[in-house]
Amino acid sequence: MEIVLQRSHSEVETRKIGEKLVCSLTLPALVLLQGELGAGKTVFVKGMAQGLGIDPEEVRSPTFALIHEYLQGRVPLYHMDFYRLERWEEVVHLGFEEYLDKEGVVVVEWGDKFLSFLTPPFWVVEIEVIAPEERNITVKRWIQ
Amino acid sequence: MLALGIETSCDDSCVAVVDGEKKVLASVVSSQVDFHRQFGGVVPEVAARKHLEFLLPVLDKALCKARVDVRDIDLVAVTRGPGLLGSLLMGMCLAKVIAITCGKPLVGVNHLEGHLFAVLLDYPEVVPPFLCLLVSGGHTELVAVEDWGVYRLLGRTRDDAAGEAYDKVAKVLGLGYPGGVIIDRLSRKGDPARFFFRGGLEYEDTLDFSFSGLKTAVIRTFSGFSEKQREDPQVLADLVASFQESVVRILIKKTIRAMESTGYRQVVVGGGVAANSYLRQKMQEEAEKRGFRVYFPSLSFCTDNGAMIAVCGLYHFLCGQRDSLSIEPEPQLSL
Repeated sequence: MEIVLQRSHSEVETRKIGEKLVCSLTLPALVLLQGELGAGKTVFVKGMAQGLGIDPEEVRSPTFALIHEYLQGRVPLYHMDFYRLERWEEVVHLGFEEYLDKEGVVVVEWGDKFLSFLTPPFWVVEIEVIAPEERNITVKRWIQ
Repeated sequence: MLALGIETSCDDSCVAVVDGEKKVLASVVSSQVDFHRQFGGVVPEVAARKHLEFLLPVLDKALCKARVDVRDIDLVAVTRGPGLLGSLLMGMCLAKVIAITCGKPLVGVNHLEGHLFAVLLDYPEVVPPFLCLLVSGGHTELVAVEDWGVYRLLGRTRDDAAGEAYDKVAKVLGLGYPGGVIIDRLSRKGDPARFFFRGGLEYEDTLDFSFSGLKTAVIRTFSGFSEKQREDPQVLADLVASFQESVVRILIKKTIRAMESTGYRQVVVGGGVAANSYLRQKMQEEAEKRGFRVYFPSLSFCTDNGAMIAVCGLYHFLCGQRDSLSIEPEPQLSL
């Protein structure tokens, strides 16, 4: 497992870290986001979108709809949210596994919820709130 | 003319019968809130299973209340999207069964357009153009309704929907579900000026919304409380009242700006958050001050219901829309 720890001092920096990560991915890729409410998970995804040539302002919280698909960039971005899901069967029911086979990037907010059901390789990004504007962002790469 | 409306995009199974004069003969909603309360939100698979259980009794009750036989219906209108796939499938399945067995035309309806049409159930005289503020758990949008069927999106949330912020704040504060109703009630006992929360994009020249930062600020304030403060009901009431004040202030500010930019004289508020008593009161005051007319659907037509789907489907039916039995749900449908 490779671990990189970064410090973000603003939303802009959080976006930059997301943008940088997405550019280093090989497809298809799965990125799981971990962090409390308000940590900046959606902000991080906005950065990832930017890196793929998708308008970051199009990226909104998928909590209600569960999946947002952004197909206007160089690579498709599938933005999901496990916040409201309680059981792995519900994730399967969503068609989650079919998304993993697509040549795109799948990013999941609250993705650590079902970690034990997932097989590497994937990335886990942990966003930790240090102060109102400060975040510790740990990027872990899980390899088989 | 009788339209049957079926709506299952989220957690409620809804069936209604509306006549050609837009009069609601019956509108039945299986509030599944009790089931969801224990989970602190809508759990999608639970929602789909409950639709399966509720949909037929809800249909029976609606037909019974309207005193019509299902064979007397002239069209079946059903929500096609947006919404949760499993939930949408349940409603669509029922609609198709009725369409096939009774030989009735099927009309797929956009749930968001249904919310725009909901105003006609209480105010059939409303004619476009008007501005619509569509605000719910999944949406926060300002739409210019130039004509029925002609919509221009002026602004929308860039992160969380307003109702989503309510639900998430309520969950962190341990208030339960549904967050909107609980916070609205608790806020009446609180001082909205006790805390100040600046809204995202509030002072920026855009009609877009942002509620994520506001949600975070409220959660941060709460985390900073001492144990004693957290257990003080007055402090909690003040906190949620201040949060609500900010949400409503932003919604109204952007609405006024959109009214100015379009030059419209009437605004319609739709979606679950339109049931919020503070929003209704403040928007009404603002409208009176500025001389425009504001329409709020009655409470039962703000939240998801079958009547708005029926009245929207009726409009499209009269315009000639007929859908084939092979139509599929579209979870990501937009206006």
